[in-house]
Amino acid sequence: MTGAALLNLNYGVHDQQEVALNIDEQIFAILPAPSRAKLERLISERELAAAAMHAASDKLQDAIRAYVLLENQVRQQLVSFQGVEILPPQEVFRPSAVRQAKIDTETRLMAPVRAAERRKKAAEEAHKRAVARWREYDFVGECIAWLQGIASLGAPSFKHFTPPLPKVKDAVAEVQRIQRELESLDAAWRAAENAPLPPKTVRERAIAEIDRIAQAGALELNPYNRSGEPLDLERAITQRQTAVRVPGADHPDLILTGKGPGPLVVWLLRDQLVEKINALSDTLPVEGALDDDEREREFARIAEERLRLERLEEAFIVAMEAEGRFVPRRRKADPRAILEIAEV
Amino acid sequence: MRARCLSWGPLHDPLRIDLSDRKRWLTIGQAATVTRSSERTVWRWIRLGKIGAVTTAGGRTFVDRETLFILPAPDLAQSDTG
Repeated sequence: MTGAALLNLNYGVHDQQEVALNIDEQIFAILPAPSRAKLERLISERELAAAAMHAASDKLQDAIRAYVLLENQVRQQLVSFQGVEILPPQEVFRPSAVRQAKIDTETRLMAPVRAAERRKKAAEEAHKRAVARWREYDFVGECIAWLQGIASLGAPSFKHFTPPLPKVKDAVAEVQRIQRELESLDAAWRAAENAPLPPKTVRERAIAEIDRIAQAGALELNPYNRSGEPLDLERAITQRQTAVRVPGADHPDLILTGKGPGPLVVWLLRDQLVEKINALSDTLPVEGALDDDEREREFARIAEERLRLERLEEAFIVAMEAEGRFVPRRRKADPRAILEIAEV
Repeated sequence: MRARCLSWGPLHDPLRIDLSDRKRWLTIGQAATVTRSSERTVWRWIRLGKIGAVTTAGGRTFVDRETLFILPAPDLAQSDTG
């Protein structure tokens, strides 16, 4: 890689715009005091991580620059005239001695370059660690985005809430267990979401759909009709274009009026259609089928269990923080759990 | 499609609503989960006209995901099928 290319490397995955949180101060007002204090502390910790990341980024840029400049300088030295190597008389006619002398010179000149390269690598590692540490605070941005979203729609009243912490031998293992359970709940959620309706429900709805259209197409005989057309069939099955002018519009729009022959056909063939539907519904998948009420109950169950687990996870993380142990929070953690709030 | 719009904006032409689009039209429970709120709060937002929702002839209400705020956990309620 050339020096110029190295210097142009973009290590700025964290430019100033991305690092800075755009916080509307109003969002703090919807939080109870302990939650507000916690959020302010988390924002402050995130800013510290961002500052450390910027410092690491500056160090890395300096290390890259120093390495590239030194390497270019030494390479120029090596390709330029090296001067005359004076060898002992007994080695003058040994080509290997000349070659070795050249290698020794190159090694000596390149030694500071290798040291600069090692410093660059160390700076890269430090920078990676600083970025990773800062990324561990991504959940703060998510909490703020959530608060702003809730506030824009009309936030409910919140109270401070933390669950009682059960006694466990290993809190880290407990958090990992909770996270595994959360993953399985996500899978259950997706399964419920993608579950088909039971064939019986699909059949009932299809027949209701047929009946509704058939009812619209039902013919009636009018015993009082004096026009000689007691069915008024033509009007029942004909669609016409009618010009309608919307107030303020330049031109009238043409709209279709009349039901057309479709409903009449459905009325005529109602029983045959139902028979076909019954046969079709027998081929529908039944595994994991949920009707609308069952699906909603499943959603509610998963949501409730998920929130309970996330509150517990946060309680363990907070308890470990109090003991000086840092456990990173998940970016997608429920803001209600992190902020320790519950709707009133 | 026979649905009554409880509230809608320019995005909601009642004739063009397709409730089979499960990524866009969410049940109340789904909407509560993806917004990390309660069903009660979702109903309140609907009543206040803050979010778009339609009620079907069968009496079921669906919320338009596009009128909800940007979600902190977008993948939670995403289906693999449309």
